Amino acid sequence: MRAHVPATLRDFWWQWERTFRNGVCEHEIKELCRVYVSKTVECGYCGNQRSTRARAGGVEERDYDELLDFERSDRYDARQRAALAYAQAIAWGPDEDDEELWARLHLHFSDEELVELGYFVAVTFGQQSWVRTLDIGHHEVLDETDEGLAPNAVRAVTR
Amino acid sequence: MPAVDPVGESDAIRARVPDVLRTYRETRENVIDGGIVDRELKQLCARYLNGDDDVVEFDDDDRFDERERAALGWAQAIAWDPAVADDDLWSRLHRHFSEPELVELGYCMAIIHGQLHWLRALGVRPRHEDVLAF
Repeated sequence: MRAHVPATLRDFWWQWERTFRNGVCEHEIKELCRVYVSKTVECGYCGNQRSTRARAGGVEERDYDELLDFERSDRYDARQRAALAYAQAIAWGPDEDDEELWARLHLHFSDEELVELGYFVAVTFGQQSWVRTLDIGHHEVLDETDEGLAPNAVRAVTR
Repeated sequence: MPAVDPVGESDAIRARVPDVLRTYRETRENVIDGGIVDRELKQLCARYLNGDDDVVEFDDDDRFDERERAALGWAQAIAWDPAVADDDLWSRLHRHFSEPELVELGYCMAIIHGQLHWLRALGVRPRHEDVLAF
């Protein structure tokens, strides 16, 4: 889809390469935030994608299941919960006193990590808000591989 | 013209991570200020995304032509409700824009929408007239 405009495709590739796949904040926590955003904005296309790098880094399929209930779930540690609260604040506005959120964030992240993580969440939140208006499904755009799809998405497209 | 390029508040934040600033500056140059869709239309959509009262009631405002209203309808769908992007809206969008123009405009709005949400969480609110440059 983005390849209709090569400059757009190239731009997105660099966004992903520099602020998601790489960067100062670890990829695995950004992957959890990406899928949290997809669940909260209900972008099924993005929510059914999985990072193979995050899987190799220890993220399990079950780690995605309780993202919307991250504050109460015991699957996430305090640092992950703070990151997810930051993603929530970006998507929907702070859910708690600003100062409390920032105190939590500064306890676990450097300023550089907070800039990169926030920027990445902004990119994926914007992209998912756009993609969900396009009503596209997996195997409509990239038909030849199941790589990087959630197990339930693979079952759905092979049914 | 200033002797040294002044760094805005939002770029000063991005500059804490050089790759973040570099990436966004490339986006600004290639997608926001450059590209195949006119910058004025992107500015109008960005003002909607920033909550500009002069733009949010675009549907019944004859200051905007059909092309602008279609683009603003898409901005509304991106920001608030994907169901707004129904068959009627897509028909209007395809009447006024080519496929590449739609991809670039949608991608551009997505980038701006995300940046606005992030910077608001940091307490930064751009003025409507500066919304593309923030």
